[in-house]
Amino acid sequence: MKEEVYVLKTKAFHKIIVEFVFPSERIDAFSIYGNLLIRLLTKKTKNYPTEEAFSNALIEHFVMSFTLTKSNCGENWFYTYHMEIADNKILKEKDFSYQKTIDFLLDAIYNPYALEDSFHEEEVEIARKRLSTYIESGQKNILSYSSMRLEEIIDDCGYFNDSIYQHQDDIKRVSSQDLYSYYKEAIGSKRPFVFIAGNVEDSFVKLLKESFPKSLVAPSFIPYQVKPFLVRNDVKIVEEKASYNQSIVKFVYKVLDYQKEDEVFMSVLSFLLSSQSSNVLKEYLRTKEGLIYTASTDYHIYHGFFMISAQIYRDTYEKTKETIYEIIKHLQDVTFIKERLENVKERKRINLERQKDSFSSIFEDFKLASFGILNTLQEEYEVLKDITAEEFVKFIKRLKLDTIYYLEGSKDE
Amino acid sequence: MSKRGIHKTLENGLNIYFYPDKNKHSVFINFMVKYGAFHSDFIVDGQAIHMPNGMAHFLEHLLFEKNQFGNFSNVFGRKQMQTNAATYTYWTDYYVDAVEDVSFALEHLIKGISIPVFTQEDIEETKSPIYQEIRMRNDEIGRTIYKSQTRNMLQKYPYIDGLGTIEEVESFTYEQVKLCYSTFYQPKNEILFIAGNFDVSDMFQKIKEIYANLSFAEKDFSYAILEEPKEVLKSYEVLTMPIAKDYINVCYKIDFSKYSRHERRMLSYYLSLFLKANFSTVSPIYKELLSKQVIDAALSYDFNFFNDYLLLNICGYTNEEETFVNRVRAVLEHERTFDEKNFALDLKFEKMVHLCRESSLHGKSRHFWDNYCYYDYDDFDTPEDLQSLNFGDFKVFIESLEFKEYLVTKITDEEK
Repeated sequence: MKEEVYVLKTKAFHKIIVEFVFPSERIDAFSIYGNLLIRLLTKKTKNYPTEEAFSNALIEHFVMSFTLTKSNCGENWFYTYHMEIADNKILKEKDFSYQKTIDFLLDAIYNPYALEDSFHEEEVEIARKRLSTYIESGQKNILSYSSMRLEEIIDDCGYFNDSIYQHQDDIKRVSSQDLYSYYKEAIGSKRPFVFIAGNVEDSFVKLLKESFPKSLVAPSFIPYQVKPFLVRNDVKIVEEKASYNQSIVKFVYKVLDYQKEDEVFMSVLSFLLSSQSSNVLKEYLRTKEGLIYTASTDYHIYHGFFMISAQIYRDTYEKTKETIYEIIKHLQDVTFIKERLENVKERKRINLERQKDSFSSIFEDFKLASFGILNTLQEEYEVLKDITAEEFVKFIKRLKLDTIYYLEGSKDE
Repeated sequence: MSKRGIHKTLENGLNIYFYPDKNKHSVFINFMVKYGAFHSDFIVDGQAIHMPNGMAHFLEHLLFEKNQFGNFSNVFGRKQMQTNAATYTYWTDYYVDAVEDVSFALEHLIKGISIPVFTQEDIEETKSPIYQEIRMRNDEIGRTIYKSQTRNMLQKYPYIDGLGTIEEVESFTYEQVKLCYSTFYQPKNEILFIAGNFDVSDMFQKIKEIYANLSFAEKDFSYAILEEPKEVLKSYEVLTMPIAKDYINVCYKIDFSKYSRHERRMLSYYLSLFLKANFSTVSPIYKELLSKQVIDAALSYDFNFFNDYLLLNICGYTNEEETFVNRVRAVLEHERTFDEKNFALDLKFEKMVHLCRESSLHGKSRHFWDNYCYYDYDDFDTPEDLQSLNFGDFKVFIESLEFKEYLVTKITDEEK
């Protein structure tokens, strides 16, 4: 990235979104650290040492939302502070001050509630418990449990080795000092990439740029490159049982010779199967066969795999499998694809307009495109509008069924 | 009367609310029917009728999927519009969000819902996905708590939840479905809410033209008002499902009959501010339970109105059930916190949230329906509406609430 600060000016919404993104290298051994940090860092600061004081200070500074999340992006973890500030051009409060709000937010990030070289042990202990409960809850919830199991099953290369489920035992081992050192390394000593959107003036942007402490290190991140999973020769079938009312079946397809340019085909495939303009999954699994209430698709542009997921009743597992095979077969037929593909293109064109009414949508588009991770919707549309049904079918023929995961809900009705 | 939008009524009784906004790029059309999950009992042509749970939701699916144009999802989907439907406690909502060809969206939505073509076969075909939806929801903690609440808190109303059980949905007959449709789906019981970039007079003209070719058999009906006692049916229930840690919900039943629905609109803000002050991460009980290791995460809280009763919930994960319940009860029954400074700040926050909602078509619409259905108020609130809220009234109102009748629901893991 050439710049550190990116600005999207829009008058359509009554708030200003500011995001600070701190990239940090993905290292399995530090997986738990980030997950503890996000449960620790947005509750209090040195200057506001109780949750009540900090929560009140957010409102006093017109901050409507202040969160910290951790996400995976290629070889990086992104620690993202998401902040929403009321637009005072609309609110018109006399005591509003950009300078005060900026100072407050920077203080909240760079001056956390901590001792000289350690977080407070009792605070870290609460974060440890929260994380443990979160992991245990995930293991009990059918949707997150099935996703976790699938990651374990399909990952032959260890790409998901930083999953929290694989590092549960590390929670107790992370000391308050170690965690503070990690915070200083990943966040506390760095400037972030900054994304600002809303009805903001250049003076606000300048003020924000100048407010970062001079001692901070410039941000950097490992450029985004695809790392496709290995493609197996045979299909792995894993069937399990658990005490749920519903069952879940997941089909995972890997793409032979996957490249970043295939991203647009994955997007089209996902739209074909599960968007309202051409919901083939719903058409076959629900309307024709009455097998599901909902089915969804997901794809991973980084690792080059595509997934179909259907929540079903246990009696219909075999029929659901048959129907999904049938759907994939249809996708290899140019006549089946032609009209549907045109519909997807039309949907993407219309979405360029619809997107303008959604602040979160234009903001995400702007941010991910700035990082070069995804094309903007406009760029994606420019590429896909020229894709032919024949080219799409060619892509479908490169899909190789890799895994079928079935979690049977065994609870009696 | 609507203050911020434009309100019109057709001769057939249909109410229409227009919220034009030239800065938007789409038009959001809501078709709302005042028939919801709670309306199991009603009187039509002088006859008292009782329907099993889930009928309003079933009709929503049926009309959405089996109308004269096909499945709305495909009809509007092919035109690149967004659409869906949902059944709430007191109403059913169908919507289309269109960037282009708004006339198509309007005409197909109105005609698709207003000219029923469903058959016995359609009814049977609609059932199967709903069974699966029920199973899916039965795996959710929130839905499990909700059903415990309605089952044990409401004595006279047989309402449990909007989906009904698989057995109830299985039992629906063509005659039952037809009766509910013809009773509730008539213009005097329906509302159109349209927001976004459009011209009001053009849109109104189109609506008039569409309805000029439709005919309706008017039916007199009323929703049954049952005499609901103040007491709860049961005060403790234990349920099992896969769960990491015990989940406890304390639910209070409070008689709100002395307040008009109009009054409840502003009082609902006081309830929200009260719950935040007493149970959020700034509250004394949160700090206390956290320091005693009774909880390790934030508490959740909310409230719902069921006719004249308010059901108010406080819940959280804990392995210290007794301490958790006793402390929650103590706070509600005799240790309520009032802090004027925090009240002012929380009110400021509410105003900021309202301000932001004004720029969202969906946000505006949802808030409008809440006001319309729960509080008999046909507009959405703006920051100016909150000016009348004050600490003195807040304190008097909260102190007047009687927290006496309650239910504790515990969800525990079956493996324990």
